[in-house]
Amino acid sequence: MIVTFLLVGLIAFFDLKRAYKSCPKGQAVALTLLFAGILIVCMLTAGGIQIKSPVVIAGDLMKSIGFSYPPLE
Amino acid sequence: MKLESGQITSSQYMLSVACFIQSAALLSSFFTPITRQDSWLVVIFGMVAAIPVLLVYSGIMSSFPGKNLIQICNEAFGRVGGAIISLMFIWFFLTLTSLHTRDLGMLVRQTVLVETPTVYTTSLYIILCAYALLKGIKVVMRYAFAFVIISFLLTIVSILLTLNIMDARNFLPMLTLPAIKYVQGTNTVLSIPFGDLIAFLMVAPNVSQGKKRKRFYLFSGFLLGSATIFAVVARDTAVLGSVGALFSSPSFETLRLANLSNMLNRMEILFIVVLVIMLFFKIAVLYYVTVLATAQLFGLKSYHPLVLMLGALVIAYSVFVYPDETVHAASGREIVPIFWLLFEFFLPLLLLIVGRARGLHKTPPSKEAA
Repeated sequence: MIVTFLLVGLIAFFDLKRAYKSCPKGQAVALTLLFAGILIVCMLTAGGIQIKSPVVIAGDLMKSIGFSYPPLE
Repeated sequence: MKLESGQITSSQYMLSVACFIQSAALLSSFFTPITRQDSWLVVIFGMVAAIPVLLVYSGIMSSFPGKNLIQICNEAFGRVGGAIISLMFIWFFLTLTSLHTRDLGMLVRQTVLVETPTVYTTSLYIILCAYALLKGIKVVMRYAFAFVIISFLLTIVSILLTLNIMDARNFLPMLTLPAIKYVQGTNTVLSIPFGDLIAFLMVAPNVSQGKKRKRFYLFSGFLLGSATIFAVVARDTAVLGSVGALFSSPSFETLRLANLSNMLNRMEILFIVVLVIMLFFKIAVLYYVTVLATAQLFGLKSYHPLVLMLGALVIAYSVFVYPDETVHAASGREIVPIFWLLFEFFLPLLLLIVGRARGLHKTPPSKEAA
């Protein structure tokens, strides 16, 4: 987990630095938020926490309303 | 604003489309358990069903020349609506990248590096793809020709080597399954390998004008790729019959059985090597499209700062996108074929209709004027 944090943090630092040079403040804030989100997802995954992905959530929803094919016999 | 200045030729574009479809050989396991010995028929039905989808894509390309999917969304749906639709497309591309990365990791783990954790394989793979992306689209697409030739050669050699174990009776009985199975199979073929071609709407502005219209190259590439998928599925059915439905990778099992008078056997490793190469191409294109679309949405001057960041997200997402392989396989058969149609057909169709209704499209110059 620490290794993941360091790795992603390092990449973020250099990439953000490069991105800040070429974009206005508003975009820089949005980019920082995106990177923070990515960092959190990577940390949670590295920590072994099972996150329910949007595909699974959408799949469960579609199944519950009967919008899916029948399972294999 | 153009984020990518590299141009690819029309023939590179055509071969990239073919290569993109050929790399889906692994995904036949989604529809073979449904349609069993009739899977080759379902591939033909899927090819026919893909024609209107490709017409929508080529309609978008010719109506909005020089613009990629995200730019067209922003123009057609306005600032807020465009951003929402663009975010949906970005999520779709990101999910496709992660799913293919996961497939590759699982394939390597199940067949070659049995004790190596999947995340190591996928991380190395994404680093390689990131390196290719940092060099630009031109570099990735340049290799399509070599990859297509390799894939064709392997398909032909594998058919020749398995001729002695093929049995025409494995195709029987034909058309005896309930109609819903054919609908489901056709939908799966349409959504999973063929519909992924929507990614090429992000690449279209970088294609230099060839002698013919882009539609010709898109359809030619599609025919080349789908003919390979058809040959692979027909070969697997002829060798394995309805038993093929029991395997997670029927092509792998088929090549395992190939044996030329005890001199040439264990050909399955060739399949793995070629599939890893083909998947490199597909993942690199999908990864590029994800990064480019995100950079376009944020209005960045270059997509390079996003490459490694989104690579980290792809690796993490590939780990948790499905809790296990059973859920993945079930979702690929029951949910994804319907769900993906939203991104691969309905949203592009809406985009084309809205864009044309608002008069944003560019009419091609008439022959008389020329």
